[in-house]
Amino acid sequence: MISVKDLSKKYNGILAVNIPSLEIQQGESFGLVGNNGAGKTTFFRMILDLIRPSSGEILIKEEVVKGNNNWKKFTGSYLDEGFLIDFLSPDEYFEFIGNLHKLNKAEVEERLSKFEDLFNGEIRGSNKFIRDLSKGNQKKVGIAAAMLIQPEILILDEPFANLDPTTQIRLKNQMKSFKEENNCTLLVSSHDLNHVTEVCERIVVLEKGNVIQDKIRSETTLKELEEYFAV
Amino acid sequence: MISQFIFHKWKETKRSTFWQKNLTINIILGFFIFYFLLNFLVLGIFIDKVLEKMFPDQNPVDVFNGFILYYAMVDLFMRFQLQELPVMTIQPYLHLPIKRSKIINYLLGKSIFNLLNFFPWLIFVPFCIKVLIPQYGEFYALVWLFTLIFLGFANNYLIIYIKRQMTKKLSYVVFLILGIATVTLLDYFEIISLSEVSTIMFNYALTSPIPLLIVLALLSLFYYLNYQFILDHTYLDEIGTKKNKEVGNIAGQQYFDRFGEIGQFILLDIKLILRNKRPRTIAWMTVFFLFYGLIFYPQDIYIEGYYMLLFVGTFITGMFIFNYGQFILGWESNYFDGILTNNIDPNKYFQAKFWLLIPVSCLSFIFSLPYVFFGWKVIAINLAMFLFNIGINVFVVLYFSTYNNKAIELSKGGAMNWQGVGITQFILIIPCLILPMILFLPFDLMDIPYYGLAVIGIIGLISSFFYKFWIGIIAKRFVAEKYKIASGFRQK
Repeated sequence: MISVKDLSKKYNGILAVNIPSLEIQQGESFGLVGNNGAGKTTFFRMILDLIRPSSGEILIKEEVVKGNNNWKKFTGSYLDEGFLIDFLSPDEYFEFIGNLHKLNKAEVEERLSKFEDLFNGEIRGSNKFIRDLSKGNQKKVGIAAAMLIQPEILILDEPFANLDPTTQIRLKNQMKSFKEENNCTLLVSSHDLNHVTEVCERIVVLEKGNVIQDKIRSETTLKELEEYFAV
Repeated sequence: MISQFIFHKWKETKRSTFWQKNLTINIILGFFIFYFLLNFLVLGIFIDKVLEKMFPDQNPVDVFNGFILYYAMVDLFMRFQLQELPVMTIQPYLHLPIKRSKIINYLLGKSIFNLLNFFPWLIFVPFCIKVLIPQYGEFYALVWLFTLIFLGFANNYLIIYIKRQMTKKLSYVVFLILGIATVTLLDYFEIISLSEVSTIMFNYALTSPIPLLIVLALLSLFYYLNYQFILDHTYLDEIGTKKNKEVGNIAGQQYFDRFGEIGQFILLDIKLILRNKRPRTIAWMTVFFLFYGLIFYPQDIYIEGYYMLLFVGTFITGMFIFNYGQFILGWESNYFDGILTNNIDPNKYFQAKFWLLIPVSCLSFIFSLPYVFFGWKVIAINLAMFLFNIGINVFVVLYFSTYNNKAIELSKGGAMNWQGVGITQFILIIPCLILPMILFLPFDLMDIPYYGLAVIGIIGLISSFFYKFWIGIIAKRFVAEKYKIASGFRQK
């Protein structure tokens, strides 16, 4: 589904990301962990064609993402607030995103009904602008909008940060069931080792831009990761 | 402690990305301000001569003093428009062992350092030295001067207080407007002559310190009100001056559904304009610029020529294209990553921008039709410039907008706001203004100016039919530049 070839990104001569080769299969759930500055967000941004790689390329469905619009039709993403149109109400935003993917109002409504648990009654029908929502609620809007288009690839950066424990658990369940229903490829980065090992079957550890570990989740994965980061 | 605050503020300014990146802009801005102040200084030095010329049979001091209350009212109004509440990010200091009174005094003291408080000095001081000291002696001349200076400061704190209250209760604004309106009406119907009252009051300041004491008392009162207000509201949940506004519905929203994606983008831009302060100011400026012609058309030297009118016509019909169009991507800097990752075709995106700018330009032209009062020539020129704007200039502006990778904060006011302005904005405007003049020149030399206008208009009209072609070029550039633009927008 996603192939990375000789990818690197340099900032002022310092390598921020350096991934010679990486394949993500369709339906895989791919968890990216690493400390601050490991290059997780930079990597995701390059997949989404937001940053120009210094070398190499990324292909989605065998097509280079750079300068291409096709992958946008089936890729949903939420990295940060820079994805939210903050002077719209959540409902207006969902409608706008739905419109871009040729969804009518009824379809948008129907798909959003699945998020009622996650929204906890604080998002839909509210007369607030997104800019006036709390950070956690903004994140819920962003994630829901990314899932709204029922993408084949879903990319989320730190989805669990800023959320309260109840919401974290609900989001986790939401992501799991969403993945099963749509057989979508899921890419998640997180600092929370517990959550990420629970949601993702494949865990990749980045350090200073390099892939240090790449493993399929097993019983011992969480423990190994904790040991790795306990330095 | 206060020196620490000042030091922090200085660092904040110096280290802000805006300051560091925009040295050129700051120099140009500094030059404009210097020029503007110099004008006032010259006016101040010669004001007695000006007054003698305009009011030959009156004493210049009486006339000058007669204007002071008007000045005070205009000053209040200007401050209401322009003055921002002095804010300091006090949050990081509240939990430290610093007395609240210190923080508040610093916050209030800082507001004095505003250009509005100082530029009238450029007139008052020369007048005081040149006219008053010889007539009334140094002591009373200074009493008078300080009365005026403190009057300005009192206005300063009055407006700040009103603006603060405004965030809680809107009625204060109504009081202010009613107050100014009442005084203006009383003056207009000559029930009370503001100028006579003013003359009496400030002539009195030249013979007695009582007016100075009254003004000082007012100043202290307004300062104290502010102090108390802030003291009562230094808790984090009460500092926020912004109120959460409710989302309003836009009438006729369904209408845009008919135009598919392009309609949705236009609707988004309309919401952006209506719901954010800075683009709203731009929209108002477009309306004000409709009246731009009134400065030029009544004057024979302009109405008989052509080139100045070409210039005026470009602005009247194209203000929105220039002002809104040059930041067409900057407006969306907050959510630019979202625009790039969603299923948005760059061609359609720019077509939507085109279809947003064109109708507004068209409306500007229609609303400028009453200028026919100054002759059909004005309409012919404006029509030619309108067509040139929608056929050539709009594409020039959109093309150059992709060079602009500076983020814009939508919530800040627009007047004198230089955020997001780069050198390209100055370069951009030149071809838009010069090109029609160059086209016009040979016809003017051949003494067939109306053919020249026709050529400008026809070129614009024909070019506008090829909008998809031009937009294709712009979209291509956009795709090539988007990384640079996006990374610029991410650095706020």
